[in-house]
Amino acid sequence: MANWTRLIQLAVGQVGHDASNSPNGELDWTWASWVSPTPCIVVSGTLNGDLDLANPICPMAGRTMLTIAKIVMSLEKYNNPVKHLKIIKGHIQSSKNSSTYVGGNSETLPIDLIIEILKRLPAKAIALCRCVSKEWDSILCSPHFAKSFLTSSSTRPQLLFTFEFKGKWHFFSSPQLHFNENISVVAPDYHMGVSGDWYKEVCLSTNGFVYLYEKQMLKGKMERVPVLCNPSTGQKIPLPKVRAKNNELRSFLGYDPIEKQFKFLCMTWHWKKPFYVYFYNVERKSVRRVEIQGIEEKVFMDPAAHHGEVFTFPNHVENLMFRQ
Amino acid sequence: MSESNKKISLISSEGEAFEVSEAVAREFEIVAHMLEDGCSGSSIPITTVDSNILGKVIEYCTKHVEVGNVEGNSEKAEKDLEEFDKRFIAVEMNTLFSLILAANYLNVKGLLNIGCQKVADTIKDMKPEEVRSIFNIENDYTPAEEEVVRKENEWAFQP
Repeated sequence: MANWTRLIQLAVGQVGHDASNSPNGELDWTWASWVSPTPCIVVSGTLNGDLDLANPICPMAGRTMLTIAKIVMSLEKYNNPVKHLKIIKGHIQSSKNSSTYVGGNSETLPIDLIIEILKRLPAKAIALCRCVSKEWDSILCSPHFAKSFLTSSSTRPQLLFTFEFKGKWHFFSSPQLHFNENISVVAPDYHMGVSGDWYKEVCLSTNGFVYLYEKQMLKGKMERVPVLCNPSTGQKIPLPKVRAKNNELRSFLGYDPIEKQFKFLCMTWHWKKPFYVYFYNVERKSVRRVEIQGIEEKVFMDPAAHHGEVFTFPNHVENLMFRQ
Repeated sequence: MSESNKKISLISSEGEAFEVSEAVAREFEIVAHMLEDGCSGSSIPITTVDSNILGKVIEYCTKHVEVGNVEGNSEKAEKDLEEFDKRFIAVEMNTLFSLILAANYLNVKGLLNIGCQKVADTIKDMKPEEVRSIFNIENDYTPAEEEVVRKENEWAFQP
């Protein structure tokens, strides 16, 4: 296999809480093959406490293993992987029994019920519906609609896949699989190709946005520029390059569900005093620096010794599940 | 237990009476509220919903009450209910709109949800012209304005 694809499964190794499909608050986990073989296999299941997480492909034998989805991404024809996927999608769609609708309609719905329907559409269809009428355009562009769309979309979380191919990130999404679904093949939806640079450390996703690096010509020099990208709409929001004088920075993307704002967070990569966290508020475009103090006293660190990498997890919450 | 044996008549806009158990009638939140407010009459007029649609909404609620009462074997029951919903909602667009209106008026949340989802699934791959015809909407864009908004959303027109 040549140099073509490095498939990153954004959910690799992640344990996610899927509130919509686990009413009892079970934790769902998902695992997918890292470097893309064909087929790409996604294993998903629900943690019941006795699952061996160290070897995620093995629990098939156990009761807790639920579904294996083979996402048929035959990348052998890698000159046009996208086209190949579309064929599969078409095939699966045609096998669904969908009632086709022809002609006009004599019933009309009030606008609040139309909004109920529109908020269930994918983002791409929303863009098409903006062309329906001026009233629809103003409704669909309103912050109020954006808010209720996000609430509705959060009840059907998806698995987002991306891989870089010839300088572009290609985004796919597929439904997240659950317990009682007996599906072994799914066809992901193709969103789009976004020009970007391979840099795995920063390909992070939260609340519908992905944080990645884009190559841009700046003052005659090719530079890596951090952007917040919406894989559904292709919209890109440039982010500032936060620099610290004495330290390399590692970046994180977080969504603050309380203030309903995107926060972009930078931490120093290695332990070194002073230790800072930089918060960038995407809406206000402001950076704030906070120094974190008192860690040495807690772990009695020798200031002269070399200290290792720092890992940060935004939006951490405390949890009382799985107690013995 | 005696409560579930109590019968209630729901009267459609044409004056036709549909006799249902109180448990089924309570699936209509609007009726449940009437009963809680002490409306003790055994017949309730549903003046904005015709017999055909009222009959369908009752069929939906009856099935959901039945399945809700069966204990154990919940996984199979859930699947059956899913299948029922799928078949129930596979109707033509006019009927679907009437069902959504009725579900909204009577406040039957499950039916409102599957109805709206069905319309969304049907229109998600449609062109703006087709969507206009479904919702009976007149295009109020001038050709120049329409070109601008189409250009802005060009990415979505690509297959």
